[in-house]
Amino acid sequence: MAETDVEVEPMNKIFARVMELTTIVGLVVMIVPGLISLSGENVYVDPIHTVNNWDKSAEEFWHDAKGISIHGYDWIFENLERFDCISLFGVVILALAPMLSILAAIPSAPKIYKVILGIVAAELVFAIVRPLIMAGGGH
Amino acid sequence: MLTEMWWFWPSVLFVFTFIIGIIAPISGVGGGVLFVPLTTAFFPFNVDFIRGTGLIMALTSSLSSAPQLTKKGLANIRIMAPIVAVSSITSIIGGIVGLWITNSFPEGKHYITIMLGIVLFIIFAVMATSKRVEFPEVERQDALSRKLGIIGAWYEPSLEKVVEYRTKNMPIAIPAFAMVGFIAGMFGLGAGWANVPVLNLIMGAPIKVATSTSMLIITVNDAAAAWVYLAKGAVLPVIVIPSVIGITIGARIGAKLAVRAKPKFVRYLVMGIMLMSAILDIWKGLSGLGYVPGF
Repeated sequence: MAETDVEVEPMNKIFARVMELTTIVGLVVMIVPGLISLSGENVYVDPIHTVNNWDKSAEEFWHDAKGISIHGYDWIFENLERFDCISLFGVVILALAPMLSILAAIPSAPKIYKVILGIVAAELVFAIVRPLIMAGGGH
Repeated sequence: MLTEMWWFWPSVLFVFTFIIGIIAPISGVGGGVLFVPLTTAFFPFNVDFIRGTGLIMALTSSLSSAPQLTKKGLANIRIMAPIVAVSSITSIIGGIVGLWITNSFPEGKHYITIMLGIVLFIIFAVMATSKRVEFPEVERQDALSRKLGIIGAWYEPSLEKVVEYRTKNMPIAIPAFAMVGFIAGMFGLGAGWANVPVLNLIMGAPIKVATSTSMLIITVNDAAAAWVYLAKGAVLPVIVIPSVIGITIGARIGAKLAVRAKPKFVRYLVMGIMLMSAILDIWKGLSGLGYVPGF
């Protein structure tokens, strides 16, 4: 008997395919620039500043290392020419992977799962926009 | 001297996560459960960055394995969807509460470290007492599981046949997953240690389905909580990159060694390490608050 004898629902198949693709893209974007950023060249946060402040809470870290307060994601997108921020963009892609997979699976899902997956997708959208709404965005 | 050798700690972190990666698959413990408490105890990073890194590590490894498991029928959206509809929200709340505690109180990080030690004791107790049932029998489904049509099948090579399954007790399982989501978000832990026993023992999912669907649940819960850490700047590539690469390479070697190793011995060893890090984390937190001398 072959593995193909198992009938996997289209909802599961599409979900898996989109997640697989998004994960590969996210990992490459996170790891390659991330490794380059470890050289300390063309980075948003200087490694020396990082070492001097990584024992502080996130809020204090950014205040002391860069003189800014972080509330949102625009600091990542505004510095996409820096290797550490490109690496974080990879993390953003990875964090988007489940939502994109769910959205792709919804059209082929049974009726009740269309509703449940729609709720989960809405929750994930809320997770993304919450820091922007509740902190006014920016830095 | 320390600042000139800034690469020292990321290098040590790489070796450290590489070793965790080897041990984790042999012991059956998720890498994040070892990474967060041990790094908190022995590395100079603030617990905010450790939790952020732990979360990204758990997210990365679950995203890497979940698609294959879903294609085989082992991980099932029918089980995952109703669970994460609740647990992703509690996971976000956990992340918010965790960062609020460290950033709003001068002693916040010490409280978090103590709580992490306590959670580790709970994980230890769960691991020490829970059993695994390979093919649990589900005689009657609850009304909700029936309505949601929670059934599935996969090809089991050891039996050379397609195994069909269904689950039960969804109304009992959902609050349990809500709590697990909160803890995962708050401490940056992958939550396989809790997801698997609930799916296997309470819901009656076969052990392979339970471990696989747990991966699927972790992808959604940890992705939801990851935004909290990203938006607060608690994800630093200089810590995340060596950790993710170290644990990924280590896990590949560990998976091969798992075939030959004595899993029971390694499992006890890891449980011993967890117990030790629980004590160290509580001690570190208490010494930070000035109740006990530092080490």
